[in-house]
Amino acid sequence: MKTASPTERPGPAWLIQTWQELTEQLGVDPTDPLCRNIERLGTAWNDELYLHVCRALDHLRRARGSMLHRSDRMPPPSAFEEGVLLGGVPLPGGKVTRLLVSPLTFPLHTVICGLPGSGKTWLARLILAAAYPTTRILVFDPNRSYRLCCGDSSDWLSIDWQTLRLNPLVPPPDYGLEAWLSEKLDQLARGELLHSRYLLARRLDELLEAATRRAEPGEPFPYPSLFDLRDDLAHRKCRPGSKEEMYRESALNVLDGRIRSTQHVFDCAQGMEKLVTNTRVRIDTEGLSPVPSVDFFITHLMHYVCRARAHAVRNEPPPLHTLILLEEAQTLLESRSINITFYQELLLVARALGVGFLFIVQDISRIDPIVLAACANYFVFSQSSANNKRVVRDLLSLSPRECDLLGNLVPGECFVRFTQHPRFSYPFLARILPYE
Amino acid sequence: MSEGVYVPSSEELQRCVVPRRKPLAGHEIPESAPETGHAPAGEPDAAATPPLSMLAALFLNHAAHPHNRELSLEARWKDLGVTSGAVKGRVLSELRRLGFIRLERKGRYQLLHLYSKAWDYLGLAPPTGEGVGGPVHKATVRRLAKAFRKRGYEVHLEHAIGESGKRVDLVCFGRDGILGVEVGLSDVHQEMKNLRDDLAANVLDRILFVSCDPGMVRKVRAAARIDPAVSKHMERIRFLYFEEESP
Repeated sequence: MKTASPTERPGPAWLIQTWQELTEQLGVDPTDPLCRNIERLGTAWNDELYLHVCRALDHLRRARGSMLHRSDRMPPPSAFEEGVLLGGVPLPGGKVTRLLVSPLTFPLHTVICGLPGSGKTWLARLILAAAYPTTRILVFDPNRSYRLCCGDSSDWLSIDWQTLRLNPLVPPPDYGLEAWLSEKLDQLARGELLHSRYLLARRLDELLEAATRRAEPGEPFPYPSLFDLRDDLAHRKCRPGSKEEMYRESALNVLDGRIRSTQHVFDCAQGMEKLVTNTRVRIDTEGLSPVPSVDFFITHLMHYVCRARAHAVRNEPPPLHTLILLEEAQTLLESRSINITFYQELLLVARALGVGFLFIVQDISRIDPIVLAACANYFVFSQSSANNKRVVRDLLSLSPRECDLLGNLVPGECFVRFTQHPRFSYPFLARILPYE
Repeated sequence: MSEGVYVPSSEELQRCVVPRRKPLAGHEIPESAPETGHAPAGEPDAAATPPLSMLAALFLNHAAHPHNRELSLEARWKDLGVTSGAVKGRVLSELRRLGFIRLERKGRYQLLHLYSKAWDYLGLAPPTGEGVGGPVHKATVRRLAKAFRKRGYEVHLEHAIGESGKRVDLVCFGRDGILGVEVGLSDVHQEMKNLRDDLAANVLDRILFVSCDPGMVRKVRAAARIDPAVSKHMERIRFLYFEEESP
C-alpha cells in the first residue's frame, strides 16, 4: 500500500483508492455504509482531515496485523489447568490464557527449535526451574548457556567434561555385564569397526578374565577400561597382512583416537556414572571434539541412565524420573548419523522408564525424521529457512497462513503442539514467560 | 516429593573413582597408529596415507570442527597453544605437502581451506551449502548471514534474482524490504559489474557492498559515484568495511 508523506498532501482520489484497497483486504462490501462515508469524505478534503485519516489508517493496519498474528485454533481456557506455568496463549480481545504444562508431558520427549535469540534456551531454563525437586536432570551444555541457572551448588552439580571419569565397560547396577558389554561393543563398533567387533569381544573377554584373577576381596572390581583395551590391542602381535592384523589396526585407530580426543575421561577402572546420573548435573561440553567423540561421550551417559532404570517399576503414565537436556542437538541427531537407530531405540525405551529428552535445535530440517517421530511435544520459535518451515508445517499440521507466520514471530513467541495432550492436541500460538 | 535429589560434592565424585591398574611394561602405542583416530580405519586407502604428526593431526581436527571453521590462522594457533614460528611452519608445510590445506590471505588475516583429501583423511563429509568462493569469502558470507538472521531477516545464500538469474551472495528478506549483500574481494571491475547487474535485476530494495579490505571499499565507492548506471541509485547502496575478527 502506498504511503504519502504529509508534505505532499494527496488528493481525494488517493484517499478513495487507499480505502478501496483496504476495504478489499478486510473483505468489506462496496455497498457497505463505510464505503459510502469514504466517498463523502472526498468532498470535504483538507489538511486536518488528511492527518485524521492517516491516523485512522495506521490504527486499522495495526488492528489488522494483530488480528492475523494468532493461530487458527486456540485452546479453551480449561485445556491447560494444572502443571507448570510456561507462558500464555493470546486470545481475541487481548486476553491471555495461561499455558500450564504438566510434568507428565515431558517423558514424551520434547523438541524446541528456532532461530538464535528466539527464546529456546529461555524456555528450557523455565522447564528446568519448574521440574519437581525429585527429578534427576542431566544437561549437556556446549555453550555454557545454563551456567547461571544451574549455578546453585546445593541443587546442581556443575562440572567440566575433562573432570569427569567414566568407564563405559562398567555396567549400571543390577544390569547384566554380558548384555551391557555387548551393547557397548555394538556402540563402539558401529560404522567404523563393523568387522573388528569379534576381535574386540575376544580381547575384552581375556581382559575380564585377567581382571577377575587380579581382583582382591574387599576391593572394588578392577574392570578393564578403554585404555586397557587400547594397550592390549597395541601390544598384540598378529601375522602381518592377515585379516586379523587389519581388524586390530582398525580397532586400535578408533579407540586411540577416541581416547586422545577425550583426554583422561576414560582412564579409570570405575567411574562417576552412578553418582552423576542420579542427581542434577550440568556437564560443560565446551571444547569436546570431534563429533564422534562428543557423540560417544553423550550417548554413553544417556545409555547408562536408561539401562540403570531397566528394572524400575513401570507406571502408566510414567512419572518423570530423569530429564536429559541436549543443547545443539542437530550435531548428533542429523540425518546422516550412523547412530540414529540407536537413538530411536533409546527414545522408545526411555519413555516407558520415565526418562524424558529435551532436544534444543536450530535447524530442525537437519534432524533425522526417526528422532522427530519419537518426540511428542514441539515448541517452534521463529524460522527463517524454507526447509525448516516445511518440516515444521508437516510436523505440527500448520495451515499455510500459520506457516507464513513462522517467519514473523517475535522472540518469546512460539507455536506449541502437544500431540498426546488429552484435551487439546492441535498447534497453537503461545507466548513464553514473561509475556506482555 | 518432599525431598530433593541428593547432589554430591566434587570430593565425593573423586572418591568414587577407582583408578586403573598401571599398564604392563612394553604396552605402548606403535608409531603407525594415527593420533586422531578419525582416519577411515581398516580401508586400503588408510594405509596409503602417511601418518600425520601429533600436532598436524590436532591442527587438522581443529580446522574441521564446525565451530572453528571461521577462525583465522592466528586464532587457530592460539587455540592450540602453539607459539613457536618454527613449529607452525613445520605443521603447515607437512599438511601442504600432503595436499590437505591451502592458505588464503585477505586483509590482515589468513584463512584455511581444507581440500577433500583432508576431509577423506578425517573420515568426515565436507561441509555443503556455505556459498561459493574462497575461504575468506565464505567466512564473511557466513558471518553476515548469521548477523542478519539474528536481526530477524530471512536469509538466502547465493540466491538467484530477477529474470537474468543473477546470483547475489546474500539476499535478506525483511519487513523493510529486500536487501542484497555483495561481498567483494576480487577486483573493482568485477564488483562494479556485480552492482550493475544487481540494480538491473530490479528486485533488491537496497544493496550492501561489503569488503574486508578498506581499500577495496574506497575504490568501489569512488567507481560507483562516476558510473552512469550505478550513480543514480547511490541512495540505495551502502558500503561497509567488514573487519575480520580474530577470536
